[in-house]
Amino acid sequence: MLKLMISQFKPYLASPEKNAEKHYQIIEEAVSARCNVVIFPELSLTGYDLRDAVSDVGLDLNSDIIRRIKEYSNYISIVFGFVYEEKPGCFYNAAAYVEQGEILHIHKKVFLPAYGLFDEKRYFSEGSSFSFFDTKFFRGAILICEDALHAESLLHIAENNVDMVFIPAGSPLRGIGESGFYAENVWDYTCGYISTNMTCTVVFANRAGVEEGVIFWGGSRVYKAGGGIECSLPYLNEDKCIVKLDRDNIRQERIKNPLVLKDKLRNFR
Amino acid sequence: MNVSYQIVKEVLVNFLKEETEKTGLKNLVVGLSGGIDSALSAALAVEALGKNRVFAYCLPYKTSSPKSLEDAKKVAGSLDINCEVIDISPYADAYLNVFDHYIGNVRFGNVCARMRMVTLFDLSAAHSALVLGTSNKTELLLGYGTWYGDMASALNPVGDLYKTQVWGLAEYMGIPKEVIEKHPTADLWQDQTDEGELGFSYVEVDKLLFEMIDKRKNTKELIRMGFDEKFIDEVSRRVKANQFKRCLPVIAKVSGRTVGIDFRYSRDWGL
Repeated sequence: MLKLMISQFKPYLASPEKNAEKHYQIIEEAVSARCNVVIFPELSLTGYDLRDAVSDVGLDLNSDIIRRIKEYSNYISIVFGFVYEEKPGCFYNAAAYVEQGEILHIHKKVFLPAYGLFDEKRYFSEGSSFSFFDTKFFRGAILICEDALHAESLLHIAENNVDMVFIPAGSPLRGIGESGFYAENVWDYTCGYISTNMTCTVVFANRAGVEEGVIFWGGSRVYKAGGGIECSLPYLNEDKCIVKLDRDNIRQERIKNPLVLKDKLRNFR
Repeated sequence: MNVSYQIVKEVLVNFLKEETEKTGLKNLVVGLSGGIDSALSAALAVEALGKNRVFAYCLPYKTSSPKSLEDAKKVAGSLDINCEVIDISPYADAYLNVFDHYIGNVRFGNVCARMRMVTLFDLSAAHSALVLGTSNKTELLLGYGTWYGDMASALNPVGDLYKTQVWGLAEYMGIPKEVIEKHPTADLWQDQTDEGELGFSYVEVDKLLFEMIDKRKNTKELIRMGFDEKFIDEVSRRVKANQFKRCLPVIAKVSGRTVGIDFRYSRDWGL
């Protein structure tokens, strides 16, 4: 049984030190609850609408905050979001998986939205690849928010039989209709599709809070392989939940519905 | 245009609570005009922060309609909030009497609106509060408001709701019926009504604005949908001509980094 905590986190904007303190508290709670993994949303260490503050809050791998989180990962595996200054002046919207004192993987967001209210391409460099990583529990992949909405990232998951897809997100509420709103529908379809058709667990960890009128809707969820929703957090408010996942579920689902590609991707063009 | 008012209310209440409390301030100040926009803003504020943290002020001029004041008090009563009446006439007249002639309706109306702004911002300092905005999306797009007058505020929960949706949400939230059903008016001079001044109804213009602005339809598409070409032109012209009211003051760029141009931070920077 894998025990996972989702933190539907509300960060302070452009304040990594204050956010880090909150991360440590939540990590300690997750450790006390004997969780194996804790996941935070997109840019959890910095908040989303940074604009020119991106250059003020970038962290390299020698930063005190990253070192401290790595230490905590001796007790629990952690997914968290940050501005990664990989080289001086080169900033990525990134999320890392840390386990047993080491960074197993850093995903640099590939698809940077620059439409409507978004302007990420102006401030961040684009990541250039998707990859998976093998943890002591599962084969994982991280897709940051918009990444999960594009076909290329999904092909990679299917081709490599990824078990657990983490989607740290900063999805803003918009398009309220007669029932529901645009953003929740898009994410429900997307996570439902990935979990069903790629036969894997999907952990959608969306943030809470408001930044200059842009409201982040929370609604974090875990979709089991096959599409069933295991846990669902309320909208809008900062919250957390603990989910127990049966690792046999993925195997059973793949036997029942062998939709995941068994061979290397064939090019039908 | 049709929205779930349950979701809208929940979202706007969350917005007001978050955006007020993160500043370290606990209260909101609102000018109650007797109209539906300020009534709705006040009602949302009460849901967000509680009635003891919303301070309402009625700010009539001596020629304001007594009915407006009566309606404003009714709204305050229904929300059970602190409400004080401050007659702006003494200090508005102190300025107006500088001139030996009446300055005309538009200037007079704008002076009163700005005196109300001065009052609310000062009172917000007294209450350690933020000034609650009440301009709806239709007004903001058409520029139907006083620049740095009623359009000035710290945060505005109804600024992304068309007038039609303000009516809908107000009804959902149980605002007194007579306030919902009255003819909208800025009450800046006798017999003034919004729709009289604009030359079209809110219902008509909201239908057009929704297609033009939210759906981004062009003129050809709007005509195909049945909107009158002259009406489309007039509304487009108004929206464009009033963009200045929706922007920060224009600053000439001479340095490498200029406020309002390429010095870019969120209002919530550090909060």
